[in-house]
Amino acid sequence: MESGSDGREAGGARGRSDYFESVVEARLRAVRDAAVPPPGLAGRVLDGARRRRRARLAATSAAVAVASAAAGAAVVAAEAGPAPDAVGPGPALSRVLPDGALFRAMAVGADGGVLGLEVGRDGEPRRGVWYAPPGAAAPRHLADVPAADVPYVWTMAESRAAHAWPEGTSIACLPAGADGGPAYRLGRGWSGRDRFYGGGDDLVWDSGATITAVVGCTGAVRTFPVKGTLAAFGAPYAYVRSGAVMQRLDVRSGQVTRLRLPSAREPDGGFAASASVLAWADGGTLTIRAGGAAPVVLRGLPHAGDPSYDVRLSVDGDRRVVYSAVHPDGAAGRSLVYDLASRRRTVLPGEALGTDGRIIWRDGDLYRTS
Amino acid sequence: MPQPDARTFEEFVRHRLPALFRYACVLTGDRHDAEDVVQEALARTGAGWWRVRRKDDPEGYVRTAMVRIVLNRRRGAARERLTADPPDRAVEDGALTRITADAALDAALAGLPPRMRAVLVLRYVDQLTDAEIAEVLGCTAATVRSQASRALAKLRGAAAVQEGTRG
Repeated sequence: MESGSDGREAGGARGRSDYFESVVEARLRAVRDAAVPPPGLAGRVLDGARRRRRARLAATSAAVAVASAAAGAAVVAAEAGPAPDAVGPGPALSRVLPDGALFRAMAVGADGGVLGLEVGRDGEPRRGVWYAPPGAAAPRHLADVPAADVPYVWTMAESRAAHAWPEGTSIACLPAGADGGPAYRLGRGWSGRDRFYGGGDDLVWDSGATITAVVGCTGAVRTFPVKGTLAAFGAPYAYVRSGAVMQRLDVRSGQVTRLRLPSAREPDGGFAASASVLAWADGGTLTIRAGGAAPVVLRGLPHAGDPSYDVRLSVDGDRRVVYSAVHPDGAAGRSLVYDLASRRRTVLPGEALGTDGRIIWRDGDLYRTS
Repeated sequence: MPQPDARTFEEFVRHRLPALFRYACVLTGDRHDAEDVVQEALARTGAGWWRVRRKDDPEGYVRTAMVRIVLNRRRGAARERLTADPPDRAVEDGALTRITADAALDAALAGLPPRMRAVLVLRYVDQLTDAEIAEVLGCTAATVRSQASRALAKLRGAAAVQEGTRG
């Protein structure tokens, strides 16, 4: 263990190296223990939080209005003379649910079906899980999450055979084509905190030193002992990272190939993958590795370095990589789409998700599909 | 699983405000600054509560926010500090010596730059390792050790002066 310049250990339990440090510690603790909150502080705190929330919503609504106007111009340009890589306008899916709440897309299937969660106008998640079949103009209600689990519905997955969302530390799974009904509970060993994935017919999750894959909700369960953690999935490959080594695990055969990453560090924006593309975002850069080509490194990412935005990467197959930065309130965000074939960038308002040759992006109260 | 008792922001504030205020006090050394810091940190947290509450440790999140707020505040905004010299000392007795020593140490702590004080609080109150402190402060562990060493040297120097004036 490393020794500090003041003679103490750099890690581990806090042993005092001398009497004086004990005095300092005791004095700091005494200051802390003597303090009592002034009367009315709780009320002022709650008022301040409410004011902050209202101000943020007003600001993000204005930002969305400006961004939507800009997106409209981009779409018109694409219609007038679309470049081969342009993110053109596609079918529009309404985000507005019957009771006025909004649909927040969380997973897109290979067929273009969209799975998501009901959220209030203030971005607060609600119980409803909704699904928009391919080409639908509006989503339909699929299930309700138990109220206690609503705060933890932060990711979802679509495979050809199933819809999946988290319920506590289980993965709720509804077979594709089911019109509601009770969901199966999967996810043995899943922590509740790591992203799970869908692709092909499989749902895939990390169950702690093991990758588990299941076809649909009730198919055969395959488990693959691994050293590392599940970082991404692009059917049929699970990408498992251990330090600077990325293992590409074929969940059909169990065959593993290894890739070397430039750093052992966990990228702050995470990974995304398809069968042929691996991308990661870290420190304001997006790195894309496709086949044997030299990696592409992009800078100037939307909201780069702003910790109040959540980043999600996705890959639409072998062509486009999507970097999406979205405010947790859900009302503001921007996405960058990079086309590997044309090397062209397209910036979109709001969040965007790519999968299997499709990109879905938010355009005001609509989702559009390309 | 995340903390089950933190379902609403109001509940979180009701349960944890006293502890958070105490932490702000030790971090700033001043009740009024502490009130400002805890309000600012909780206002930020409350605005994004649905995201924060799924974390393992929402309170740790708020405490880290408080540390960063303190570090980002203008140094000139610091309020009047405690004095190291109590009024006339008519007699020498143990209790008064202790009070004087505490006051001297408080004054020396109050005179530390915010980052040095934060390092000491994170180390001695939060019992974090240097690597963990570095993560909170956004610096290297070596910088943490350097800051801690310099902070302790300043405090030792102040204590020595106090000893000297007491004879």
